[in-house]
Amino acid sequence: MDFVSSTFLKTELLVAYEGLLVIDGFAVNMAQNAFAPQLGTTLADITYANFVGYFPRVALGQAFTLFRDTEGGSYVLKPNFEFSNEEVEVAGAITGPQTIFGWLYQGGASGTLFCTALLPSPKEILAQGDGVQFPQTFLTFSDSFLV
Amino acid sequence: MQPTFEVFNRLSLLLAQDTGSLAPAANPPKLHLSKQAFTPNQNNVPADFLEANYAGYAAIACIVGNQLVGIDPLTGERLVEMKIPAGGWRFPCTGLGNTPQDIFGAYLMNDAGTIIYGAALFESPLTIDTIGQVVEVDSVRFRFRFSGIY
Repeated sequence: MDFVSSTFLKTELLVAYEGLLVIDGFAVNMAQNAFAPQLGTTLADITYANFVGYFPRVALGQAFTLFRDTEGGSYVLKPNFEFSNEEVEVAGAITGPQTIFGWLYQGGASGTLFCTALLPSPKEILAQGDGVQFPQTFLTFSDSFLV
Repeated sequence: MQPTFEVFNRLSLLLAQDTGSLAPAANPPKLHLSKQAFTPNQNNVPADFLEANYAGYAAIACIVGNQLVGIDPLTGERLVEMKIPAGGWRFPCTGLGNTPQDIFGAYLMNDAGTIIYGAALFESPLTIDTIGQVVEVDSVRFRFRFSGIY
């Protein structure tokens, strides 16, 4: 018999999840291959970007912020600090173009793949100074994520 | 973003082991029956329910500690299920006091009776009016919806 969960239970759970993420930390990587974000996506489906100057944004022990979107009624979880510039830039000359299709969050300590997303359109990296920007929202939880 | 199964695995395990709600080491939650119609929703409060009081009725305490996690074989959704206590979730009628009584559903509350964790309706109200009748809840389960996280 499925029970309809209360707001208390959802909030309790998300706060616990936030704590787990703090312990695990996370890394943000960009993907240079086309992939389809889905529940079953694994790291084997991803080819990390490797253009000159590229490196994953890694944070260990950093807190996330959980806030309630009072307008939409959903819970939003995002890192509570900014990456250097939310942008990965080419730091030197590159020998050929590299197309960036999306990005992903994975556990910093565990390496577990948490979530993936595609850019609105693939971004071609051509030369020094080109960059790829990505939003910082990690996950959004609607009221119906737990019923 | 699109979460992976791993997110749901972790969430379900966290909830099943959450000492602040479903899995305390002592004073576990209790399952109650309501003799008042209600609408299950996330904003339910104790005042939304009127506890059954037919002869033989008593709220049932859950088992302390970690609860169960599982995967629905039909949908793949992650589940958290309260361990079934000895004797099951059974509420027998042992006398005719306070009968007939219609039972509309069940709700799970903390031991102190101040916080609702969840509620569910029976398909239709059950009328208790005979000694030996039993209201039985097959399981107390919470379900994670894939579409609810993005």
